[in-house]
Amino acid sequence: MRFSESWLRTWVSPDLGTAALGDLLTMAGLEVESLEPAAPPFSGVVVGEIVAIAPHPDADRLRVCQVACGGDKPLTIVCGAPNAALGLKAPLAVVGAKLPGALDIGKAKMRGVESFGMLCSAKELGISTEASGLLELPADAPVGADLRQYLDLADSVFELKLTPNRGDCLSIAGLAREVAALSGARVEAMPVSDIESQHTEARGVSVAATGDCPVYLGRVFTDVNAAAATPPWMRRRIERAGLRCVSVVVDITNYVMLELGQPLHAFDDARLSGDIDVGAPPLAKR
Amino acid sequence: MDPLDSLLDEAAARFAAADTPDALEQAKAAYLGKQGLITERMKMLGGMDPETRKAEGARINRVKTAVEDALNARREALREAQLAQQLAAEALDVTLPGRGHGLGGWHPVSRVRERICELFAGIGFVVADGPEIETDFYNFTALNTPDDHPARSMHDTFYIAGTDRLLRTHTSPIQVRYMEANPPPLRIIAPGRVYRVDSDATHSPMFHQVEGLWIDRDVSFADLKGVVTHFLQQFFEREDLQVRFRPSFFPFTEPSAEIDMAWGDRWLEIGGCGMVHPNVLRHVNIDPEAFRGFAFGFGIDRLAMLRYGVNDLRLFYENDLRFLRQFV
Repeated sequence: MRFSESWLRTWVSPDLGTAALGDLLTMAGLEVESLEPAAPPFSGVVVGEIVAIAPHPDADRLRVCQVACGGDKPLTIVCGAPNAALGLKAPLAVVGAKLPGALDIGKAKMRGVESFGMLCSAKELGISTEASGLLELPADAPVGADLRQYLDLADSVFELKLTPNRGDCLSIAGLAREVAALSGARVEAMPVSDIESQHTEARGVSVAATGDCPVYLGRVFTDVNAAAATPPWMRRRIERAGLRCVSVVVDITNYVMLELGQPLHAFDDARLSGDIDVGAPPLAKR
Repeated sequence: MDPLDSLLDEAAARFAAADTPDALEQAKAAYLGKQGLITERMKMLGGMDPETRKAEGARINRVKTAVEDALNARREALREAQLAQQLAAEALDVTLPGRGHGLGGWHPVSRVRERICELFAGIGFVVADGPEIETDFYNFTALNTPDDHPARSMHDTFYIAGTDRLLRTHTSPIQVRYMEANPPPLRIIAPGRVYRVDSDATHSPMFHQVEGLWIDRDVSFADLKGVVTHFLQQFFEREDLQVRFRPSFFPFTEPSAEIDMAWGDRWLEIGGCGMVHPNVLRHVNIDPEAFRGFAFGFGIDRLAMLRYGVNDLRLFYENDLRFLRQFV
C-alpha cells in the first residue's frame, strides 16, 4: 500500500512528525517498507511565466526570455529548452536557489547575455527521472508562488508491507481509522452530499454470485466530458500512490478506490447491451 | 644327426624367436598344425611295417612331446613377460609421501546450525527432523494456511508434478509431525533445508531455517520473548543486544510477531514467531484449552551471514575453497 502523507493527513493528522508516524505504523504491524520525500530538497524555485521571448544574438539554440516571477519587473533568463514559449508557466530557480545535486544558481553570462536564474525541467528538480524540456505548469499557476508549496512537494510517500490479514488498511480511510486508534487523533469525516439524478436512464444489474458479491451498485452518468483534465491535486495523489493517471474517468474511479477502499469500474454505456452480469471469476489455478 | 632332432632344435629356435603370443601360435602351426612338419611325419607312419611303425612312432612322439614342452615353456615365458611389463607400467610406490591433503572443515552454515542446536539444547530443547519432500497437508493445511493463500501458488512453491507433494517451504511441517508422534509437553528445535521459487543476491531457491516449538500447559508470550532474546544474545555473544517484537501475521500463529534486533543504527528483521494457533493444535489432537505454546523460526543462512560478516548469500553455496578455508 503506497500513499502520500498529505492525503492521509486530510483524514487524520496526529501531532507526530513523518518519521514518528512511520514508527507508529511499523510497531502496529503495518510495516513501513519505504518512506521517501515526494521530491529531494531544493529551495529558491518559484512559478515563472515567460512574458517575452527572443532569439539569442549569438547562439542558435539559446533564447533570451523575460520571465515574470512576482517581482517588480521580469527577470532576463537565457534558456535552451525546446518548449520555451511565450505565455508558458514553468519553474524558475532564481539567483541563490539550491537545486538537487548540489547545484547553486547564480548570475551567469551565457554567450555574452547575462542570465538571472534558470528555468527548470522536472529532472533538474529531481521529481522525475526523465524530461524533454521545461516542466510545464498549469495556466492558472500563481506567478511567483513557491514551487514546493504549489506542487505540495513537502509531502512524503509511504509504502507499507501489509500482511494478508490487514485488507482493511488498503485505503486511506482504513489507514486513517488505524492511525486514529493508535494516536488518539480524530478522523475528519469526509463530507458526502447526495446528488440527485437529473435523468431517468438506467441499466439493469443481475448478480449470480450473491455469496461472493452480495451487493453491486451502478449508476448511469450522462453528459460526461471524458476529455476533461484531471485536476493536478488529484493527479499527485494518484501518482504518489503508485498508479498512473490515464483519463479523468479512470482517474476518478481509481481515486475513490484508493481513498475509500471500494473498487469501482466505469463502463462506456454506449458500448454495453443488456444487464451487467456479476458472476464468480474463474479460480486461479495453482 | 637325426633329422627329427634337428626338427626339434629348429622348432625350439623359432619359438624362442617369437616375441608375441601371435607369432608364437604361428610358429606352432608350422610344426604341430594340420600341415605341420611333425603332423606330416605322423601321417607317413601308416605306410610302414608294424615293427618300424612302432619304433618310428615312439620317436616321433618323443620329439612331438619335446616340441610341445618347448611351446608351453615359451607361452609361459611370454605371459610372464607381458605381466611384468604391465606391472612395471602401473608401478606404484606406496612408500612415497602423500600429496599434501588439506584439512577438511565444517561449512559455515553447518557450524551455525550446530551452534543454534547446542544453545537450545542447553535450555532443554530436543532436536527434531522431518522430510524435505512434504505433502500439501503438512506444509500448509495442518498449519492453518487457507487454500487461497499466496504461498500456495506455483510462483512461490516447488510442486512435484502429478502428485500432491512439494518441497517444503519452511521447517514448520516438522512441528506438526512431532506433535502427532509425541504428546505434550514438548520442546523442540528443528533445523533443515527449505525451498522456495526465488533467486537473487539475498534469496536462494534452497536455504536453511530453524524452527522452535514449546508446548505446555502454561507458556506465554513472555516466555517466547525470554527464550528468543536469550538465544540471540547468546548466539551473537552480546548480553546487551536489543531485540524487539513487531506485530505481524502468520496463518499458524496468533498473535504473531516479527523478531527484529538492533544492528548498527537500524533494526534488522531476523525471524518470525507467535503463539501457536489453536487450529494447528486441533489438527494434531492437542486440546487448545488445556495446552498452548509458541513457535519461532530463524533463517540459518541469515544468522551465518551476520555472525561472519558475509554480505552475499550465494557465497555459501558456491563452495569456493578460498571462501570455505576461512572457516576451518
